[in-house]
Amino acid sequence: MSSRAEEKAARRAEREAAQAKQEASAQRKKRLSILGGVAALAVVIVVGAIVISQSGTDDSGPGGSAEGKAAAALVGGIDQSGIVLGDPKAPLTIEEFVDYQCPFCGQFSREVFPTVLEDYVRTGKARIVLRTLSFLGEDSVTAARFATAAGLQDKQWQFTEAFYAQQGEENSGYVTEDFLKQVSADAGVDYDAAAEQQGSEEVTKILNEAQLAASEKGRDSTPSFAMGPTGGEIEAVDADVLDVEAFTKTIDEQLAAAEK
Amino acid sequence: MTDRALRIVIGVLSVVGIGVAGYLTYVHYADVEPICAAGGEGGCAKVQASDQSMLLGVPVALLGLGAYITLLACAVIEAEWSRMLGALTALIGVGFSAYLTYESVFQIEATCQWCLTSSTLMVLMAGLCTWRLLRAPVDGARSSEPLPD
Repeated sequence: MSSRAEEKAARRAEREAAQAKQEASAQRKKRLSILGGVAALAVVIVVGAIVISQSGTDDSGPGGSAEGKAAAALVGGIDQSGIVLGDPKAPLTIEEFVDYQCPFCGQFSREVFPTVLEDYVRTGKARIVLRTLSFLGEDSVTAARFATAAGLQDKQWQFTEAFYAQQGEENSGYVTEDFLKQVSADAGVDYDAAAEQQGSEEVTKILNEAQLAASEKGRDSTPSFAMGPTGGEIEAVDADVLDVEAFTKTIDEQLAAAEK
Repeated sequence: MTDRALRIVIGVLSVVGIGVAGYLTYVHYADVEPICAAGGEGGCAKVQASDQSMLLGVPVALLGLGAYITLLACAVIEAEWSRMLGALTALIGVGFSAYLTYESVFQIEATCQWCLTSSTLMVLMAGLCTWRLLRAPVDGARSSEPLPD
C-alpha cells in the first residue's frame, strides 16, 4: 500500500518536474522572443533617428553649414544687445572696428577672438562693441547692412562669427542672397526680418555712428581696436591683433587700468 | 533582486534622468548657458548649440525628458506592456545616446557632463529594463505551489 502510494507520489513529482521544466523552457523562449522583437524595433527606431539627425547636419543648403553653426555657437549664452556683446557692467569696454570682407578680421575672429571671448567676455571682465565699417567694396556694404540688421535681433555676433567662418575672397561678389540666407540659418537670424530692415534708417544710424567713432579714434584699418573703462574714455589701442599672447597682454593692461 | 526592488531602482534613476533632461530642456528654451563643470570651456554650450541637439525640430533634451517620464511610468505600472515599453524606451535611449556621445566627441569635439550623465543613466536603464522584461513570469503561467492530490 505504502509502496503504491510512494510510487504514485514519485510519478507525480516526476510529472511536475517535467511540466515545470517544459514551462520554464517555454517561458524562456517566449521572454527571449519578446526581447528580440523589442530590440529589433529599438534598432529600427534608432537607425531612423540617426539618419534623420545626419541629414540635418549637411554642410550646405538652407539648413546652414556645420562650420558656421559651430562658430555662431561660440557666443551662445552671453548677454547681447545690438552691437554689444558681454556684461553691460564689465569694467573694460573693447571697441572692435571691422569690415566683413577684411581677411584679417576673419583671421582675428577665428584665431584670437575665441580666447578673448572665453577669458574676458564670458567671465564678465570685458564687453565688446562691434563697429562695422565698409570701405573694401560693395560686398562690404551689403554685409555691413545685413549684419547690423541682424543686430536688431540681438544676433549680430552669431552672424559675424558664422560669416567669418565662411568668409569668401575679397570683392568676388560672394555676399549673395543665398550666402546671407545660409549665414542667417547658421546664426539663428530671421532672414526675412533682417532683409527687410537692412535698408532702414536705424541700420544707417548705427553704421554712421561706427564711421564717426572710427574717424574720431583714427581707426582707418581693420581689424583695429579701442579700449577703455566702461562708461569712460575709450581710446585707440594699437596691438598685434593676430597674436593671442600679445593681444591678451594688451587687454590685461587695459583691464588693470580700467579697474583702478 | 525582487521585481519590486528593480522597479524602485528604475524609478529612482528615471527621476534623476528627468532632472538632467529637464534642466537641458530648460536651458534650450530659456536660451541660457548650461552650468558646465567638465568638457572644457563652453563645451556644454557648444554641444547644446550643435546640429545634433535637434531632431526634426525637437530638442533632443526634450526627447530625453519624454523617455525618462515614460520609463518612470513603466516602473510604476506593473504590467506586461509596461515591461515591454520600458525595455523598448531604454534600448532606443541607449542606442541614440551612444550615437550622440560619438558625435559629441568626434564631430562637435566637445563634451558635456549633462549629456554624459544621461548616456550613463540610459546604459543602466537598458540593463535593468531588459532584466525586468526577461525575468518576469509569462502571463497565465502556473505558480510553483504543489498541485492538489
